[in-house]
Formats: sequence, C-alpha cells, structure tokens
Amino acid sequence: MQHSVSPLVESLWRFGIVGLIGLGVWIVLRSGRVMLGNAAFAAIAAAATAALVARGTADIIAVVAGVLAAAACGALFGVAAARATSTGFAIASLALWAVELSMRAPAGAVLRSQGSPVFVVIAVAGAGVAAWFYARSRHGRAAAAVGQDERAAQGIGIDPVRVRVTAVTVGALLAGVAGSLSVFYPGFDITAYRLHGDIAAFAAVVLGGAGGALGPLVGAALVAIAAVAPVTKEHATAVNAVALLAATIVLPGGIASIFSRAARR
Amino acid sequence: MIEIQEIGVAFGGVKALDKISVSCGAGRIVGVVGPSGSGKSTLLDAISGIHPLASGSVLLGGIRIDGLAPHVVARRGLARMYQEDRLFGRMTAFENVLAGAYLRGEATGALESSARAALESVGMNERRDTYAWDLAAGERRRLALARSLASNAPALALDEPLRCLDGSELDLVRALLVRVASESGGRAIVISDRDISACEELCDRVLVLHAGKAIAHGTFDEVIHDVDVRDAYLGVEWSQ
Repeated sequence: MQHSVSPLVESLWRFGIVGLIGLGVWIVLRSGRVMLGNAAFAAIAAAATAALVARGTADIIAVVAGVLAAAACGALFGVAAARATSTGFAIASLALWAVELSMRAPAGAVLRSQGSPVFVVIAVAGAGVAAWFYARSRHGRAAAAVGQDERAAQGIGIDPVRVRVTAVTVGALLAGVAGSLSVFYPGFDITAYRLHGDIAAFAAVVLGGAGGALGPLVGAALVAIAAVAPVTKEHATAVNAVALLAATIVLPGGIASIFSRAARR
Repeated sequence: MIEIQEIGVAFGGVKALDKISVSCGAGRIVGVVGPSGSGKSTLLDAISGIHPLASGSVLLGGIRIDGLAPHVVARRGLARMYQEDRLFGRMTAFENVLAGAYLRGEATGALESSARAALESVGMNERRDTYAWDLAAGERRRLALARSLASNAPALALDEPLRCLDGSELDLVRALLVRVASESGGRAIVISDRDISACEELCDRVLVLHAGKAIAHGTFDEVIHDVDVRDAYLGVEWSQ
C-alpha cells in the first residue's frame, strides 16, 4: 500500500501496534499458554472500527466498540480453550488464523489518515506500565503461579481456568486497542494482520524477552525499526522470523534479560 | 477438623487406597507412614481433590470436600505441601510465600509482613531474594512449607515435610509444626513420611499404610509394637 509518512512516524505506529499485540501474547504466556493468533483480535477490532467509522460513527465510539468486540471474542476463545493442555491451547489458537484470513476492510471505507501515532504510542506505554504493576499484583502473581506450576497454584487456592480466561481476554483487549487505533494509520491494511501480525508480535516477545513487561516493548521497538530500515523493510516478516529463531537459540531470555542480569549484579 | 471416612482410590483396575479412615482434630498432628508406594501421597492427593474418590468421603470442619476441585478445597481451608516441592522456580523465595498467601486477600503491607514472618519461621529470611530454583534441597523444602503456612489455612496436608532436612533444620521444622498446630485456635495437620521415627515426638496419632491398606492406627507406641507393622514395614522389632 502506498502511503507517505516519515520512517520515524511509521516506526512509532508499528512499535505501538506490535507492542500492544505482543503485550497481549506475553500476558497469556505468563499464564502458561502460547497464543499464536492474538493478531486476530486486532483484526476483529480493526474491522469493527473501520466499519463504524465508514458509517460516520464518532471515532472514539468506533474505537471503544472495536476494543470491546475484540475483548468479547477473546473471552469466548478463552472460555473454550482454557481447559486445554498447553499443546492443545497452542493448536486451538491457530484456528484464529482463519479469522485473520477472513477479515476484510469494509467496502467504501474512506478512513482518517491523520498519520499521528501519538495515541497508539500513549496506549502502548500505558499498557506497558499497567502490565508492570499487574505483574507485581496479587492477580499477576497468581497468573505467574499458574504458568509455572498449575497444580501448586491450585494447592494455594488459585483457579487456573479463571486465570487463563482473564489472561486471554486482557490479551485480546490489548490487541483490540492496537487494531482499533490502526484504522487511523495512514498505511492501514487489515490484511497485514494475516500471520505477519502474529509473527511480528511473537518475535517482539521472544526477542525482547518474556521475563517481564519490558521485554515485549523492547522487542516491538526492534521489530518496528526492522520494518522501516531500508536494508530490512522489504523482507520484514522474514527478518522477524529469523530474529525469532535466532533469539530462541542464542538468547532464550531475550534482550531484557541482559538488563535484568546486569541489575541483579 | 479433617475426617477421612473409608475412602478408596483406584487407578483403572488397581486399588491405590482401600477403605482408609482417619481423623485429625484441631491442634493435632497425624502422621501417615509407610514404605514407598504404600499410598501416602495418594491419600494426601485424594483429600486435596487431586484424585477422585472411588468410595468414601472427606469432611473438613464437618463439611464434605470430596469431589471438589483442588483450588476449591484450598479455599475451604486445606493448604497443601507436595512431595516434589513444586515451587515457582522463576519467583524469589519471598514471592513464593506471597503467592502462598493468595487467599488471604490482605492489603499489600500486611501481606508482605505475613510473608516475612512465614519466611522467618523457617529460617529463610536471608534467602528471601533468591530465586527458588537456586535454592538447596533443604531450603526448597523449608520454603515449600513456608508457602503452605502463609495461607493461614486451618488444616494442612504436608507430604514429607521433613525430607531433605539436616539436623538443625529438622529441629526447626519439628518445633514449627508443633507450634503451628497449637496456634490460631489449633490447626489440624496431616503429615506423611517414609520414616516412622519422624512421628515419634511429633505426631499425636500415626496411620501406617501398606499397599494401599491401613495396617495400623494409633499412638506412636501402639503402632511400633503392632505385629503387622513389624512384618510389613519395620521388618524387625522397633528400637530407637
């Protein structure tokens, strides 16, 4: 898609979108499950928001509606898949790719193209701070406990199904924020969520590190830079895939783990 | 407090537990002993809701808890310590105990204060910022106990809480269990151990299991002189 924004603006947009979807993936991962289709919730939100904007609905209402639609779909998926084994859950999340593939922007949707990434950057920064506090909260510890040892978590009164449904819903909500706001991205293309969105989000989590909320944001920044850098932009998805593979092998704790190790010394 | 009434557990066609009955009142410690594979952990798993019962019932404070999910059993007031530690490895010792206090629903300050007290009680305060996976075996055991105690549950099912502990650690944990049983109006504690001598000064009653069956039940002195216990478990006459 042809659009003219500066590389800086484009990279900020991408940082926000990938960061939000990646934070959603991280929250689900923290509860012990691998979510391979979180970008589907972004696509759902984008489709809903685009449809409403195209009909003349106020932007803010369209965005909120899109986010709520994504969160509701996330809750439904969570209820259906929360009892599955870790392998079963990952496979079930692949079904969300069908959602990504079927999403279309509404015909005749002439969308705003302000090009300002300020809201999505504020959203991802806010989500990052909220995720940092959440990880230290009672419920955040409960989610981590379920992710690390489900039976031990049950032994201290934590309901793993409820924790996972909540994690998937919150993850979908964050992806929904990304999707709804992306409608106002000058280069908005709903088909960009098809697999590319999932690979970018997953690369952000693995590359940045899944140990804390900072990891997905560090990873999202790298993914965003790779998407606009002249050397890599033409093959951004392939670069993400290679980075994902390389980080898994060379730096399994992600880049953020280097910072946390240094801080502990 | 805890009443186990003729419970049976079966895995396929294999009877893992057969009509086991035992009760543990508030302020009491009951020991479940027997060789490996006798059904000790299965018994604790059954009362914790991990294994479904084939027969019988489990009551906690007079209310049936069999058939409930493990997290619901914990919410009803039975805290669990597992044979394999099952610590949260990527959390520090302090965070493990904080997680153990999940059900207390206290404000952060009070919660952290309780967690510090629980760590202190097992002599682990100096290791509070160490990740659980970096702890030594005895430390892991003490931390697992602290995590169970942090819930403040009125009943505790502790699977081999004395395993991997050396002399001073053993004294500390034994004294702690006796104190915990008597505090807060009295807590009911069921512990398991492979070594019957662990129950000598600790347990009010001892249940001896062999191949999923109860072969003796009584005070420590009664069970060690039981002929069935000698034949199936001790092998020789008991001597200190």
